[in-house]
Amino acid sequence: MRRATAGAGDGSPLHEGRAQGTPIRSGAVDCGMTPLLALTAVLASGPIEVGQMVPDVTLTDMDGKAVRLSEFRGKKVILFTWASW
Amino acid sequence: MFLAVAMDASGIPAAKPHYADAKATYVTLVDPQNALSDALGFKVIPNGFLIDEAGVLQFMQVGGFDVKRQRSMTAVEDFLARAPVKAGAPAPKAPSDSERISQLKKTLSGEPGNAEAKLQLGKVYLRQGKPDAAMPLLKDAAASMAKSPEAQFALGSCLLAKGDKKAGVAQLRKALKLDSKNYVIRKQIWLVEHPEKFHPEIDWGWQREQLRKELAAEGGGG
Repeated sequence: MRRATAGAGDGSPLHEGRAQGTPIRSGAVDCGMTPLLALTAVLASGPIEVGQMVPDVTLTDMDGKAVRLSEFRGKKVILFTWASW
Repeated sequence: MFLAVAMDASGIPAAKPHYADAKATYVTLVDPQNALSDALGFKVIPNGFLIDEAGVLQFMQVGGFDVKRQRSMTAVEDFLARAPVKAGAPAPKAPSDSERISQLKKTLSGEPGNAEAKLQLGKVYLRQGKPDAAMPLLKDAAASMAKSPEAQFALGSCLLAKGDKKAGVAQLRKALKLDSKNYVIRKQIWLVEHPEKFHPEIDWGWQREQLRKELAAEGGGG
């Protein structure tokens, strides 16, 4: 998991981003991004918005078993996406 | 509930050692076909999505999500402190793999040329670790959907799953050309072509220089 966050503060456009949502306190959206980073963040924005139902995506666990996001309904979920690269 | 999802085209073999190193006690998943990025629309990582008990997105940070950062931690703490959401009407659930396969086969029996159905069926097979079953479907889909980065990426993932690195990377490059701002695709190409820049440590300086070179070559500036 170290790799998922390593370098997050290096200023790379690959690792900066945007925040959206009500839990965040004031000032969080204004994260001091440079124009390049801001552009990257806008380009990174997707079709889902805060307040929408999250699609029931099917993923795979470490045993190769299919896991649907809907299996976690009824619980607060912190979904973190990372990669080994 | 903490869910970690690895966006690795190489799938479980790529993600598992890192989860083991982290001694992960949370739910560990992998998304080799970018299903999550396609559904949620992100093109960079790392990201945080905070989803309430009813399955509704309450907060997202696309890029730069890191619980070691105050900004991310504050969002998580505030989210967890919220009162539980009462369950409303049952939300729609995706069909199981077997239901999905059955539906898609039925569609294809009536419409043998339905490229979208071929793509989706191929992706299910690929996720199930059946690249041989997926390959003909994804080849057809990629040919019919030449402008779809999703279709090109799926075929590229399938080729990689079958061990054809050269053809797989070529296909991923087709996907990237159609979606040049997609860093999830771009960096997976880098990983396949330059694994030494990622293991055992990530060479961030190399990545910045590589990105600068590629953007310049693509005419996108740096």
